[in-house]
Amino acid sequence: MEEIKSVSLEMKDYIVSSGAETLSWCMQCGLCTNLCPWRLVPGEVSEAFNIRKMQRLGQLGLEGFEDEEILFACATCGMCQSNCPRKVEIINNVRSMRNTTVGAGFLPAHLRPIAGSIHANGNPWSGEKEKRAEWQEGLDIPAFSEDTEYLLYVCCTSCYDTRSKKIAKSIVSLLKEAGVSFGVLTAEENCCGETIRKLGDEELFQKLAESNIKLFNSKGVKKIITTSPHCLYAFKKDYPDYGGEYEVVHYSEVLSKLMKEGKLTFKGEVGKKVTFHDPCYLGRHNEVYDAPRELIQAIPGVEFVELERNKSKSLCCAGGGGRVWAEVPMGQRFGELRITDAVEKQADVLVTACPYCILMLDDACAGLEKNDVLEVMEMSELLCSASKP
Amino acid sequence: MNIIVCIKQTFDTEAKIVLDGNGKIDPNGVNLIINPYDEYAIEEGIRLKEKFGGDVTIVTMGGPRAQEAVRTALAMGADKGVVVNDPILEGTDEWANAEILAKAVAQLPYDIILSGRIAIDDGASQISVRLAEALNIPSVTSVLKLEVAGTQVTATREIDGGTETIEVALPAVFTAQKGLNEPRYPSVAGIMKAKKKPLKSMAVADLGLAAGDLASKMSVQKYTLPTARQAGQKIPGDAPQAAKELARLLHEEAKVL
Amino acid sequence: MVRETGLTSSAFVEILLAYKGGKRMAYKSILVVGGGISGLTAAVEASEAGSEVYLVEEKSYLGGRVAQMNQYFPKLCPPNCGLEINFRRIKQNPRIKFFTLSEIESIEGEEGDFTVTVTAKPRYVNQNCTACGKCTEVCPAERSNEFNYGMDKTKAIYRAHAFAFPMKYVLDREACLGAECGKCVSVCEYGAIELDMEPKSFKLNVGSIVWATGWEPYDATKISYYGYGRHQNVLTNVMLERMAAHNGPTGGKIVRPSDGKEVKTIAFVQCAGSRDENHLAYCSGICCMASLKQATYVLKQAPDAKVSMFYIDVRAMGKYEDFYNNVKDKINLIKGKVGEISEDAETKDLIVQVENQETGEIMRERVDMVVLATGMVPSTAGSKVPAGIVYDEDGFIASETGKPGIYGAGSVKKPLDVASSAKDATAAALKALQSTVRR
Repeated sequence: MEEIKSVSLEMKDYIVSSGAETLSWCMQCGLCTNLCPWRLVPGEVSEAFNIRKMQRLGQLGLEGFEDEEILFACATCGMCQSNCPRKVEIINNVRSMRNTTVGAGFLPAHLRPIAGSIHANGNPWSGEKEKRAEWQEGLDIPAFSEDTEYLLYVCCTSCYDTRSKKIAKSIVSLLKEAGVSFGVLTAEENCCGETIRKLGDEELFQKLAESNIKLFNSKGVKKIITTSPHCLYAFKKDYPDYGGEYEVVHYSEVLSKLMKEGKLTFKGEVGKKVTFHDPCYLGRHNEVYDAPRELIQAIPGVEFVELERNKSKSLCCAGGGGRVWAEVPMGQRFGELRITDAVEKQADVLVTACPYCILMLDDACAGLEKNDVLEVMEMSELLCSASKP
Repeated sequence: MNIIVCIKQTFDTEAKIVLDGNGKIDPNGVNLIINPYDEYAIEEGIRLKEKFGGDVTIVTMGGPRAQEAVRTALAMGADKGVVVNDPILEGTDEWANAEILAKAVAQLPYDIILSGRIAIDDGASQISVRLAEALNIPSVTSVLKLEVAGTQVTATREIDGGTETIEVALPAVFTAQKGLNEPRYPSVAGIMKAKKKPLKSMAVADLGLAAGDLASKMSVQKYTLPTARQAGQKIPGDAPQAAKELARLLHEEAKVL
Repeated sequence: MVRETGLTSSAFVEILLAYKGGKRMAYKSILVVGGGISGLTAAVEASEAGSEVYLVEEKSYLGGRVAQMNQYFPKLCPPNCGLEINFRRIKQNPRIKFFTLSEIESIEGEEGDFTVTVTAKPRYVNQNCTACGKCTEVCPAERSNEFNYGMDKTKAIYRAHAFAFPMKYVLDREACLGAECGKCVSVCEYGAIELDMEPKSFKLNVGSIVWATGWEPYDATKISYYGYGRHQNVLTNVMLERMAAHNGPTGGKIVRPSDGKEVKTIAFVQCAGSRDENHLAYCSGICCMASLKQATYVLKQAPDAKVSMFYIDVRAMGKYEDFYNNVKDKINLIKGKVGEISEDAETKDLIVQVENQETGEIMRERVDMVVLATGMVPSTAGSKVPAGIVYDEDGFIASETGKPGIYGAGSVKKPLDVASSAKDATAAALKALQSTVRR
């Protein structure tokens, strides 16, 4: 017989006050658990992670939800939340539950260096703060000023990770080609804080948000283009809580609009079968589905195919919510299923538009040894390859 | 069983060390954590309490933020906390610190005293042994395994290339090495309870010490940052050729062989 | 003789004038829109109290969705029993005139004095039809049979169903090959087929209107994770009801659409698109009872069948609790809303992803067939009453319609079971009568 546990309304109130206001809306139907991508992979975490149960434990103030494996298993993909019959903000509830332990100084061991790095260097990758804008050398990128329309905010990953830097450079090249008025403040910026907020470290997020907002406002920033859908989410949905109100778009939205106006054309041919993986933070969280497709399909020679799970049903790469730093054995990562799906559709190229997705899918493709049949590309790289004949 | 755990709040392992205008280490904006080695000590203390009953008191010395570290330890399962918070601590050396700590610990009943074997900031690894000397009790450092039976303890400690087993009678001081245990992740209930646990704050004067008693025997002359890491060198050629060239470089340039 | 009225260009009814303290009750007749169980009940009840009643139905037959049922709970009555009683009351009552294949174009006027414009679509078959069926035999064209929710086909000239009332054939002009074919006309001994029949428009003057246009099943293709429309063996509850009916597409045998095999394992998925802010926010209240009822169909056909019902809450309201108690031990009742339903590409079996919340087991249940218990959407969610009527946020007609003299009845007001619809219609008939008399 299981040991008797005590219900604690005090604990429930503590969780709710950390940001889980919709926790009591949940009627425990269970749809969330059964749409969760963890159901698609085997393993210990999959067997333990039950989002409905986690919400229930929170509602009753019962111990058990804070088990490291369970509480930090959620990739915040939003599949549960976008289908929830009561529109419970499940991800906010997860974030708040994480905040109850993280706020008291407890992060799982594998995430402590990440938070430490953000504190010390303003980015999660242990990159030196002074080198944040190093990737810009030789690219002649204007600094943001009162006369520039957009601030281009580049994700930390693309400032420090070698492979990811190529994404930043491609995006800059495309924006220039399309004649966008943009500038950067990279050297003075800090991480947008989206993921650390999802991990429950509200204090660190606040520190980042306040420093970025102070910087942006002092320079007169009104509009922001982001290279990552995670930064898009942070500036659009998280920053207003701390006084940062900006018009924020993902680079695909800007480029698609300009392409339709004739300011961006693709003269080169890419005679390949291309498919698109909708990043959770671009698709489900920010509802941008068409812009990337319009851009890809405008490239001459491209044969576009949809993956089985596309648009609002897209299957998460397993990188969000801090999972990009988790150690997960092969065979238990749902990102691998995307590679399998793309290979089954006989696609030559799997395109996506998020730096975390690129990390996860690159990894999965290599792990499954499919690099000889499938190329994983970021969308800006594909578009660049087609800009010249 | 009366268990005391001495902890230190240190810079985050990822923190960047910056020197201020006076050549001192700048603590502004740095994230602070419990010294990771002390976490093993806290965990061991709580386990002893679970096995033998009694309570665990956390003792620390530090600045205004040291309380956070104690609250974290209380959330893990410790019962009480004592913080010695005094501006005088900014200038004290290891000897003076041990004197202060000994006075604070002497006020409490103790059967066993635990701590981490080294602090990751200054790496001095002295204070626990000095504390034991000041209290005139034995100390065993770098403990990998602790077996307590009544007032007899069998401690396995790590030495270069192996381990040695020491039998000692309580009271005694033990310092924890990595591998002693796996520190627990606290429950939210524990975190909430921790807010109500008693935490006593005291100044050096409360311990019956005056500044004159604590004149440092050692002073820091200067801090310098390590030289920047140089770019790596790629050695060309096939394996036997490259190995020969590498050996030459290590002998002549790096002077390590 | 059937009292369906064949019309000339305009048909006016006797005008009865009633005076009471200055208010002129122009007309004592009542219009009932909708010939389902609610409309039929309102019509016969009002006419048996003395009113002249016009009954307008858009389909070619009366009986609505009840005619499409196999049995209804709790007594598991065949619907044609109750419908026949109503049809007999219509036949015996000279005060009821009904029009099939007709719709309301416009409503003008006010309580006691409405002028309603009705459009009657052509049946292409006249009063001479004896329903002998020879035309169907020779007809070369086919159409999807909407009576069976598209699960089978009929010829272009067809009888709505075995018990159709009025028992006359009807021609689907879009499916029909036209006069160039003319096979049905040639074979008909009674000269009943008129391929050139025209739609007719006429006005009715009535004192009050009962709007009883009923409901439609929620479109299950909108619930993308359930795979309806993609996986062949995923059906909706109304489709299973047809399949179980003797006059249905399979003669009453519950079999898999993919391969015709008898169903041995079946999953009823409750709240499919109901109690859901993303679909229908409300509960339709009858789908739990419908699934319990349909579970008895499956067990009758195959007593060793494994029937599972996945629910959030089982809603067997009031006295229906007894029905629930009788069925619940014969099936696997599992608390847990179903997530994704996927299909085994080879066998076309369905795999149902669901958590059994009582045991905590996360299941991937393989079944032959899935039945989605979809909810009821009022017809007025789509097509509104051509008058200023108040609806609620889901499109149901509000209890106080805001227009004196016009009353809603039945499932167009809220989701109801058959018995409750009949009661609601009787109440509406009384209100409609009062509007014509006003004492």
